Amino acid sequence: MNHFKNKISVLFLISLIGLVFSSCEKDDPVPVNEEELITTVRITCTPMPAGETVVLSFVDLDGDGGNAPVITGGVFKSNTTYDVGIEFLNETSVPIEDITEEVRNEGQEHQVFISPNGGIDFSYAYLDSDLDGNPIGLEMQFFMGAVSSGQLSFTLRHQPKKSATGVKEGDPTNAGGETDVEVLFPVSIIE
Amino acid sequence: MRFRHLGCLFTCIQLAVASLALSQDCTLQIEGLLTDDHDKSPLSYANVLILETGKGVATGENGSFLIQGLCPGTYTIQYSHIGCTPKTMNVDLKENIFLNLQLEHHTELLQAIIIESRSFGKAISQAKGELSSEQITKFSGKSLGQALESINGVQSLQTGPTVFKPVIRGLHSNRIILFNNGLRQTGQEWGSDHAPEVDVHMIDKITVMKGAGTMQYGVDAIGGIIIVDRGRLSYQQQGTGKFQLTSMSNGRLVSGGIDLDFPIGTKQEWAGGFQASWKRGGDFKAPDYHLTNTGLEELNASIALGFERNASGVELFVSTFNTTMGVLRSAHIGNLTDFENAISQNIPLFVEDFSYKINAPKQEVTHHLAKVEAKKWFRSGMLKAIYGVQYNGRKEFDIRRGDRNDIPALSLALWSQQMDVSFHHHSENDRIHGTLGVALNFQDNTNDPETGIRPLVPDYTKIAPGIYLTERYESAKFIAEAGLRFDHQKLKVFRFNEMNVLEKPIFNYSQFAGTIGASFLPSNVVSYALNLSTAYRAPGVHELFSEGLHHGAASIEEGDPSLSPERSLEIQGSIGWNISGSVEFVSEVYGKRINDFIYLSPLPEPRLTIRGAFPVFQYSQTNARLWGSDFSLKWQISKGIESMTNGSFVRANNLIDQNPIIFMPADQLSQHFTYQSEKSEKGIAWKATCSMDLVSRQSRFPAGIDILPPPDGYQLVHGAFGINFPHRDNEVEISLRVTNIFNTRYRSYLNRLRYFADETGRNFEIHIQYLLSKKKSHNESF
Repeated sequence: MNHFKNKISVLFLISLIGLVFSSCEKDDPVPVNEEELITTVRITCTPMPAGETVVLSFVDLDGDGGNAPVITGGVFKSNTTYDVGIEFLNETSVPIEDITEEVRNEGQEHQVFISPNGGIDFSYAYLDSDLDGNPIGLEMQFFMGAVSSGQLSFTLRHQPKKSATGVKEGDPTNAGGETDVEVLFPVSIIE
Repeated sequence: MRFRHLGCLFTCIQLAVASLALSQDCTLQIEGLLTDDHDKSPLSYANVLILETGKGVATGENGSFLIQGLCPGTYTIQYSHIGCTPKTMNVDLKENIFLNLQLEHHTELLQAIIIESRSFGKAISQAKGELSSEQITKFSGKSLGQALESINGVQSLQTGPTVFKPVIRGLHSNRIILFNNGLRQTGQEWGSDHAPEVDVHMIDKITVMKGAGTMQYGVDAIGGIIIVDRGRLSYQQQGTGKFQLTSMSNGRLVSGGIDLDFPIGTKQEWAGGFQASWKRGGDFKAPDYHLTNTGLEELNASIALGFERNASGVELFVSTFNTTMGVLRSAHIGNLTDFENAISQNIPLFVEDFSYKINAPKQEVTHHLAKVEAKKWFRSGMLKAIYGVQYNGRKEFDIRRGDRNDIPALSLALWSQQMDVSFHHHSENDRIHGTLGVALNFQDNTNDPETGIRPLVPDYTKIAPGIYLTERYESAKFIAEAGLRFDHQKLKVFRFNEMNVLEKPIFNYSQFAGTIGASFLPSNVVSYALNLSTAYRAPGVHELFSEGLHHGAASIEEGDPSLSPERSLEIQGSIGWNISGSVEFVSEVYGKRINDFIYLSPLPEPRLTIRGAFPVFQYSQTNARLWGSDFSLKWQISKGIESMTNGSFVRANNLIDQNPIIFMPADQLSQHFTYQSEKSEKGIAWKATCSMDLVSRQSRFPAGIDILPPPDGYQLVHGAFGINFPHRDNEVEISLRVTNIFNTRYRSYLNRLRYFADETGRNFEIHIQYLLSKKKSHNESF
């Protein structure tokens, strides 16, 4: 009798283990829709009062990794002021997602900084402002000085401390926060 | 899907209950008296256990005990007491009997059970460390990792003041196995900022095996094994309970816990246990500033229910662990420029006033566990079956653009199941013990696509059957042990390639692990132990398929699907030397070779992304050699005054490029002085402790990989004062502790946030404990 009971138990156990571990066939996962991806930065510079528009761009259509990004620099005219518009895009989504609006709507939490590298004679000013009256940097003016060449380092900072010293004037040193975009554009200024 | 798991559980419970054989009426009893061999004084709170049935009791104040409800038959009775070598005797039970038992008692060992690798008494050939219920209580309000740090040779890989991940002799994460109440704890062990999901309040005993030489638990414990248990249910003893309240100045943390164990009914067949704890803390404080956003909140509970009759028993155990932890705000960086900027600051970038608020970045972690365990004792052995289900949910929140701060950036759900069946046998004369077991583990890991971020590790399923055999021969002066285990692992990964096409690669790994060891105890003065073991670890999913940015470190980590398993060979030896009765020295030495050691190796070219250029690290393999030593010296200076010195060091080298291995613990030494008063006539006793930790600077690290060199060494001084006194039949214990008395400013090499902020400063802590019927402070042998 006892023997019989044992056998039943063992059978039960085996069938149970089979049941437990076979029932765990996994469903296929769905791919993630990457919402926050920025693939493209486009800086459109229009000389004042007239002249040839210069477009600086960074395009990495497959996101981090994979193929290397394509960076397009530009040639500017000396002693010229340019009106500058900045766009951020996610070109992997259909239709193409314009992230510029998201940045503008959260203007208090974002700021663009540009710093010259390698001897380029460059300065800039902010044209836009957030709800607190602090700059965002989606619209700017570039001042191109004497003939020179180098790079422009372009940074989009998330949650900077705009009240810290120098930040409103375009110096990121005390800004803190987190960098969302940091790109180097090769540029030169000619006659 | 989730309901299927629940279904499994319920079926299992039914099975376990049904498998209990009912048999004849058993009403015999063993009564007895336990005394000290030397002065014949009664030994109270000693343990008397019938090995065949697992029934046990603690002796009363007068050394007497009573075990009821026994069937006629031959039993092995084991009796033990703190500071004594356990003894066993065989009894042929035909009628009620009375036993006079004696134990040889060493009073000098009674003073405190010190954390050490005990070579005397319960000898095993592998080094281990233990924490008793009393010692664990000191960490009420803290984390499991912090409790483990008090074991010599164990450190923590920290992420700020709340996340402590255990490191055993330099190894951590997937190289350590954690056994939680008989189940292999499953979580996202791969992450260096993922601490074990276990509540210290739930645990009555912690054992750390420093190495791979224990085959019951798995083949892959190259670093070691941590075993935590809630302790035995009170079937025969009277109900016990423990209430704890802790408050800390640093972080303004408050924590409370309740722990009850009680027999149900009067037949000594049913027993239950309930435990719950809660904790809440705000921003911790370094000596000069608040560590903004380092608060935490935790709510945990567990229930146990057991039934034992004759020679069988069933236990059900359910636990839940839920925590939310903030991550230092200043440690959140976007790229290397931010990282360098953060490092150059003397004070972290975000320092705000104290707050309990936990904002992003933060972690929300849950871990639920349910298990049923059935046991049946035989004349010469025990059959045990365990089935358990675990769920681990981990959500990590980042600072994100848009309104996405409330959407986790990482959201993982891991379901796992485990089935173990083992048979333990022992010979008639109790000299040979052995276990033969089979184990089956199943894991199912799923990313929630809600994140909107490509997952760091892909989805997978893993099924791993194993079989093991361990045998042990024991005589008074010699112990030999050996074990062998075979495991297979089938890993199926569900991964989207760069074109977003689903791939389902399958990896099969199977291998042996083994151990052999011996201990010699030629006299009461010296003991030697030697152990040789080999273990094997298949690469984890993160090592095969990680891809993406590691936010805390501003680096990109990449997996390599072609990795092969690691194989370790370890030799360890120890000497215990009881120099004069009042001085005891224990030295453990180990050497370990790990072939195909998996580590993150830097690639020469950084990767250009829209957030700038990042260094890239790829999981690669090398051969590694680790060696080191843990040693301790205990000196009973005079009656009540004890000195304890612990030290450990580890050396780890990459044998191919000859560089040291990164992030190894620095050499350290700790010194404790304890004074323990005698109990006064009213039963009041007090205890004072002063301790010092010395940690040197890690001078062995590979050049050019870490963005900052290891921080300077430091020394910390701590103090504690505790008093306990009876209250009716119960006991009250109040202790005050001060850690980092001098508010020393320091940074720890093994803290991942050392780039951003100092460690916590001075902390005052008060801990009040109320023990109902003096719970558990004296019965850790169970």
